[in-house]
Amino acid sequence: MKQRKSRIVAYVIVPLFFTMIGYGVVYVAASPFINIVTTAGSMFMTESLPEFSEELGSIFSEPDKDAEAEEIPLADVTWPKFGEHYANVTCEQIGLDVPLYYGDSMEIMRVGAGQYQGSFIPGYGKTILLSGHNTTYFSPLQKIAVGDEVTIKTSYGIYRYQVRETKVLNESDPQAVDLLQKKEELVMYTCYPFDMLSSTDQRFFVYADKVSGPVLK
Amino acid sequence: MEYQKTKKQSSSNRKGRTIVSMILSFLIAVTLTMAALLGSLRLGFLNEKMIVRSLNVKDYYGVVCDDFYERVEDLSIPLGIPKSALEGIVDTNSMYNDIRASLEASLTGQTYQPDTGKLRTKLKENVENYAKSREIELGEAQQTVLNTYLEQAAEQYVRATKIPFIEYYGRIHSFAEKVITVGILGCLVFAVLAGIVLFRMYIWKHHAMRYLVYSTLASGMMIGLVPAYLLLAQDYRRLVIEPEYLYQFMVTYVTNGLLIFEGFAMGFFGIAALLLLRIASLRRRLIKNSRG
Repeated sequence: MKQRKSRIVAYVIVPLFFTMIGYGVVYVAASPFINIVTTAGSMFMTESLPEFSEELGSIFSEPDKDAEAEEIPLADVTWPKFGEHYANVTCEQIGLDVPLYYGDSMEIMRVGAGQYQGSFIPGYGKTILLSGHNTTYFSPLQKIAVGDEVTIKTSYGIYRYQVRETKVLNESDPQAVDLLQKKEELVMYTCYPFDMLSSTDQRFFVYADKVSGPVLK
Repeated sequence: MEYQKTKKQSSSNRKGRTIVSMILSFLIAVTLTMAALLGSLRLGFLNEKMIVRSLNVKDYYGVVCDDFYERVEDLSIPLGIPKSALEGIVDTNSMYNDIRASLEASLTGQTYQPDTGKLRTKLKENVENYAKSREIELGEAQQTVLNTYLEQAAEQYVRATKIPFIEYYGRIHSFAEKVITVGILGCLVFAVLAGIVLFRMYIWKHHAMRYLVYSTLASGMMIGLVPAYLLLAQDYRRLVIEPEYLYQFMVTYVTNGLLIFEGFAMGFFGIAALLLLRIASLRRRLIKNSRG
């Protein structure tokens, strides 16, 4: 009985022992490469499971009564993340009414206007650069004229801008937009001309100055 | 005295035989593990049918088709071409045939160029019909833009039919096949020879079989533990691969490949179980004969 018990135990202990020696030998032989492999492998992996959701988030809500205040502390404002719908852009004179997303990827441009992430949000006192497709959301821009009023409604305030000028420039013209200026200016641009199958080297720019809206301090 | 000496000699002989048996058993375990490793690679990660099976699981072809349409839509919108103009330019069946043809060509080190003539003709027809319906006349400049657009759409189709990195897989596959066959044969020959030496050391064959049980159990553990950990922890699901259809394909491919390793591990455990039954039957026969 005792012998049988020790035989049964041997069927567990000996294979485990062999396994440990086998893994030990492999570990010792491969140890110079293990670090390299794990470091290289970590470059192709994320901390959590990848997200492929195509739905874009929204942080927009109708502004409350403080929306007409003159100043709002910056700490009270939620800065939008890439892909988030955070405002609506309207212009009654031309029938423009589009959701505004932070970022300007292809996915965003399919569902609204996009904001260049290197520009600033309304109220910050700097350039706000928006883009949209000329055949969909920014199609009404072809009717815009100097003096028209464009409204950007955010969760923290309502901003009004008056169109100062429109221009047609080459897409890579460095004079088209000044992101470093210390004045709040709304710049909207889209492909030009607005006809079907037109060359897309040129862009139609709309420049508008701020008329009203709370300042972010 | 002579009896004591003989008994001592017999005891040290047994010890020596046990040590040699253990070494042979360990070597058999290692060679069986290596053979199983090579076999798992051949039947798993380096098996073309595994790739095809992984493509079928998550409707790879349908999703690639949808993705292609989205990319062409992204080209169309800035040019004022509506989504309706893309209807019927490609169907899942032709995409399936082209993807399979591209895969088979890559695996054999050849290149396959799908025919995009039908796509261009249909797309051009749709765009021209749309322009006609809107009473838009397409001048020379617009025809040039249209031709560029058709080229870009065709490029997107060719891109969609290729599975990334599959050409490198084809090169690794043809080289590895030869190495794996030689490796498996070599390991099995060594294991058999070691087994023969082991059996010749013992009068009672079931004593030798015990060491084979140790070997097969150890092989099962060695080949099965790491893949089991990977399958449970699923760290490979954190791979950064885009788009999503390619990610799903890779995850399925890796999961199936790891399961092959587990299959071999189960096989070894099964062999160990059979050997144990045989050992028990041999012992019973021996006891019966000795009593008789």
